[in-house]
Amino acid sequence: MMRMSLGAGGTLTPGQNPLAGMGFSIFIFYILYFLVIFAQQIALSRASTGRADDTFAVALGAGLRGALPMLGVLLLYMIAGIGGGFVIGLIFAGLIAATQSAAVSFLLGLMMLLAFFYLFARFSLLLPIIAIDEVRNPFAAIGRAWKLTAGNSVKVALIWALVLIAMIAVYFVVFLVTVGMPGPGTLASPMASIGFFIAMIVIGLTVGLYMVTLTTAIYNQLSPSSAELTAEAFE
Amino acid sequence: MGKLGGFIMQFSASRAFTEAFQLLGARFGMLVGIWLTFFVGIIAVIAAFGGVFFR
Repeated sequence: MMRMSLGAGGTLTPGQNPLAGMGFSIFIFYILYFLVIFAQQIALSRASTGRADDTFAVALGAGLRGALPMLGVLLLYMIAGIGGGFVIGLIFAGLIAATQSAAVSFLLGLMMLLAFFYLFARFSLLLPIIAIDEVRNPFAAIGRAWKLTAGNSVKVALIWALVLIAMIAVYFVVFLVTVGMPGPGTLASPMASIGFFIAMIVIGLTVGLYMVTLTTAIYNQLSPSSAELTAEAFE
Repeated sequence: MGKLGGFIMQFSASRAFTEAFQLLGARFGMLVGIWLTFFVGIIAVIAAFGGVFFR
C-alpha cells in the first residue's frame, strides 16, 4: 500500500501533494465509514418499530445486513445526482444567462429548493424499507419508497420542512440559553462553550433519534404491510 | 393513503408526530444503546485509518 511521505521532520516540501499516494486508503476509509453509518441508521430504524420481536440483537443484525444495499442506494443517488445536476445546471445557467433577470434566478432557486424537499419526501422511507421490509435490491428499495409516498408527497415534505424549522429553533434557543447573545468583539466564556457543547450532543442525539422514529411512524401509516398488521391487531 | 380491502387509511401528519414521540419514549434506551454500539465502530474505523492520514 502506498503511504504518504512527508519528508524529514514530517514537513511538506513546496509542491508536494499532502494527499499523494492516499487515494486508495481514503476510498477504503469512506466505504467503511459509510457502511458503519448506514448500519447504525438501519439498526436504529429496525429498533424503532416498537415490536416485541425486534430486539437489540435483531436490530443489530438488520443493520449489518442492510448496510451494503444502502451503499448501493448512495451510489445510485450519486450517479443520478451528478448526471441530473449537470443537465439541470446547464439548463438553469442558460436561462439565467439568456434572461439576465434577478427574478428568474430567484424563481429557479426556489424551484430547486422545492424540488429538493419533494425528492427528499419521496425517498424518505428508504431506511425502514431496507430495515423493516428487508428489501436488499437498491433499485427495488428506491421504487418502493417512491410508491409508498405517492399521493402523500406534499404532506410528507411539509412534515420534514416543519422538522427542519423546529430543529433550527431548538438549536437557536440552546445557543441563547447556554452562550447568550455575544456582543461585538466579545467571546463566550469557556464554561458557556462547554455547556453549549454538551447540550448540543444531548439534543443532537435526541433529535436524530426522533427523526428515525418519525420516519418509522410515517412508514407505519403508508406501508400496506404495516397498516394490515395494525388493522389485524384491532380486529 | 393505504387501501385495505375497502378500508381506506387516511395519512395524518399529527398522528405521525405523536407516534414518533411514543416510539422514542418506549425504545429510548435501546436506541441509545444501538447508537453507541455503532459509534464505537465509527471510532474504530477512524482509529484504524488514523495512522495513514496523520503520519
